[in-house]
Amino acid sequence: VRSRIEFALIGLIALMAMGCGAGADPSPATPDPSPPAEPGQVIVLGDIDSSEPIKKIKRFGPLADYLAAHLKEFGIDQGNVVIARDIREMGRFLSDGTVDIYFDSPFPTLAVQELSGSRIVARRWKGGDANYWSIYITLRDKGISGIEDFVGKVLAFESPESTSGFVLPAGTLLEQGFALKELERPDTRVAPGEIGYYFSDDEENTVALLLGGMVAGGGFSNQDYQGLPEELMNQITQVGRTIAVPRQLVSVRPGLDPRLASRVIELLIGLDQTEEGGLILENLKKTKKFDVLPADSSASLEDLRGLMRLVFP
Amino acid sequence: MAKLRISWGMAPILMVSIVALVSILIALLTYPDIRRERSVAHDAFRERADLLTKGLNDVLANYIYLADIDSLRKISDVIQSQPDITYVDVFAPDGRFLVRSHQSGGQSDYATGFVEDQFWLNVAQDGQKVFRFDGGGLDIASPILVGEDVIGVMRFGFSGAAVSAEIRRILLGHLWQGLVLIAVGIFSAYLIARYTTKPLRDLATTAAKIGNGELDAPVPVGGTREVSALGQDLENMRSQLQELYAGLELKVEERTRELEDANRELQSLDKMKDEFVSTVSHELRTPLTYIKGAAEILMIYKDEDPAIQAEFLGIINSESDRLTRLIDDVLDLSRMESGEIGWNVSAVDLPGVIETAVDSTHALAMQKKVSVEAAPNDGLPPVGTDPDRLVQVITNLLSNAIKFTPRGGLIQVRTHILAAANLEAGKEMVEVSVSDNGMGIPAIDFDKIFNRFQQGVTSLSDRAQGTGLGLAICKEIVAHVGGTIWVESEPGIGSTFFFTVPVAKPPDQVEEGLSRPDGIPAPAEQIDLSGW
Repeated sequence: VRSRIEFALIGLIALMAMGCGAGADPSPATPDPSPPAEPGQVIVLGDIDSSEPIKKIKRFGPLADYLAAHLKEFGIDQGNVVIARDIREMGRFLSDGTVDIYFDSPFPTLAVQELSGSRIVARRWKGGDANYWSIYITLRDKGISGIEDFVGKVLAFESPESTSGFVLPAGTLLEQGFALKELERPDTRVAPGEIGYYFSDDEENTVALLLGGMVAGGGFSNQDYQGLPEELMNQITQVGRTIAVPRQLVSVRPGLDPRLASRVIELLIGLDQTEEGGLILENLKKTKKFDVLPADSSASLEDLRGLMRLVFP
Repeated sequence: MAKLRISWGMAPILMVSIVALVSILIALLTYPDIRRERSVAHDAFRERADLLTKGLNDVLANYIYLADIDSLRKISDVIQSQPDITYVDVFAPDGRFLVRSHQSGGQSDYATGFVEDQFWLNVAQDGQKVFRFDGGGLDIASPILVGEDVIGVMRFGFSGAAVSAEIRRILLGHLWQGLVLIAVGIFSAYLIARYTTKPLRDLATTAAKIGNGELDAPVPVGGTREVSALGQDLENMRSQLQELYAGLELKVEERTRELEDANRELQSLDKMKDEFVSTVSHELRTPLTYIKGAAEILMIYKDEDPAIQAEFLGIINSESDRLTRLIDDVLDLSRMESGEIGWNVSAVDLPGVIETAVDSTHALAMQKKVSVEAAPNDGLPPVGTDPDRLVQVITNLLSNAIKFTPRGGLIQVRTHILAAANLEAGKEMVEVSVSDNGMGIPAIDFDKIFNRFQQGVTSLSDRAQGTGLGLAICKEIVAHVGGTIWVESEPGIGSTFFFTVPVAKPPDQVEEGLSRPDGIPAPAEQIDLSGW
């Protein structure tokens, strides 16, 4: 089980002093809120990753370059990627203009929005799906047929920042009246009437804990479940699900030039229409396309926001 | 300064050469192996370094990006735990250390300070991987890239211990091979030297023996073709030396004998000389004694009968004559032997010469009442000689015959032509003989009487009043013209003296004959009498 990495302030200071390369610059130049007319401006894409930021940088790098190449009328001739270590940092980056466009799942997006006032402008079909949801999984021979059977047992969730790996399944349980108790260790005895949960940090760890009998079940995205190998599918079954939410969202920082934001949305939505755009989408975690967030998705986001309040009261 | 010269045998030379050759060979074989091994090791280092840096790039980049120095340090410790990695450093593009492992091992720590070597700093500036080989190990620095941006540099040290161990193994292996080769080479050199030098040593030993005069032992011929040829040449030389030595011994023996003979001859001649001197002295003293005695008697009896005085004066006179003849003969013989006397060789009428000689002795014969008959052959050819000397020879012989022939005796002079075919020299000769019927000469004295002052066992001096040089003079004269002289005699019956003279050459050759014709031997011996 991978331990969580705590970020030390000294590390951050060192990082800031290092002056990383342009593509990985954590402190890129902040664009002028007013419409840029002079060249030399930078469009900065952002995401949150506390363990492998470089992978994200590599994924978003081509998209940043593509956008910069098509935003020259705004004086933009360079695209950068900045990866924040957590929601709080991304909220700050959006607030201070470090990041212009932010890509993430619904829960962190909503959380960052509350911190920074960012605006959701589009939906990303990450992994080929417009929406996704969480399922509750367990082993077939455990005698568990519904989520109520998890009472007195331990569930494995991914991480506190995960939409499908925590907020949706935990929020749904809370919404249905179950009492949840976070555990430091998966083998901790759970009080009667409660459902204990333990953060595994990764969906693969969740499966491992389940197969190892250390937990009775786990919260899992439907995409991850469908990606399980067949031999695991034969052992694992789902006993419940949550509401569906948009797979991923695109937000813009507050104060971003509306014309620039519109042009960015236009470019993103048009990516699947061109061969160049198709290659960029393929590199971007098999994103099928970007589209405008439909009304029902906005409603599901409101439901999610309600679950968030249950999980993070 | 004197130079030290070392004489090397063949075996040491071969051994040293083989050791040097094997050493060079091993060096030549080892050096490429070491280079190849180093090259392989460096390639392996590079390959491993490539894999390592590629695998670590994103991991380290993530930690640097996240400023997660703890994780950076932990991953550095994991990397450094590899047995062949000596250290791991991570530094920022400006050279500031982010992680610096302890060179002595153990866990790395938060680092302070900067990289000072521009070689490593260039990695951040150029974005290119660099290698530096240090001894057997390798230092590598690789940029930590995010896209094309360098956000840090990782630097590793690979231990050269494994490479050094492999090189030591190669060196040791080649060293053992070299030692084995050297041992085999030395043994081979020993065998070769023994095979090659033993025949040479044998030859040297034999040559030393030859040098010491031991020529009997044959020279051993063997070994290589060149040594065998040398041995054969030495054997030929030994054989020739042996033959020469043997011949030399014979010659020495012969010369020794000749010298001994000559020495004996000289001793004999010396004795003869002494005897001659003694004899001459005696012969000279004898007439002087007579003369002195007669003179003393005359002085005592000067007043006596004149007849008696006349008798002693007669003795003085006759002894003076004898002394004069003796001195003349000695001088004559001496001049003859020394070649000082002149020879007037010509064609001589032999009967005339015989007649002259007979006439000159006629008075003496009358005095002794002895008859002399001269009957030369008719038609005798002239003989080539000095007529005066020929007269002297015949006169001497006649005088001797008269002296030793008793009263009433007969002396005969004969001639006889000797055919050229019967003569050794191939020349026509005339033989002249003078015979008497005197007392005869013992055979033992035949040769002796022709020597100086030798008159046979029966001294004639008392009775015949001779000088003892007559026959010696005859022998010298006859020998000078190429003839011989000898005697045949029977005691009590008589003696016959023979001599030969060559027939004179025709007139056109006479001139030559005067100058001592060829074939006439020089006097066999000459005794210098000038000194007495």
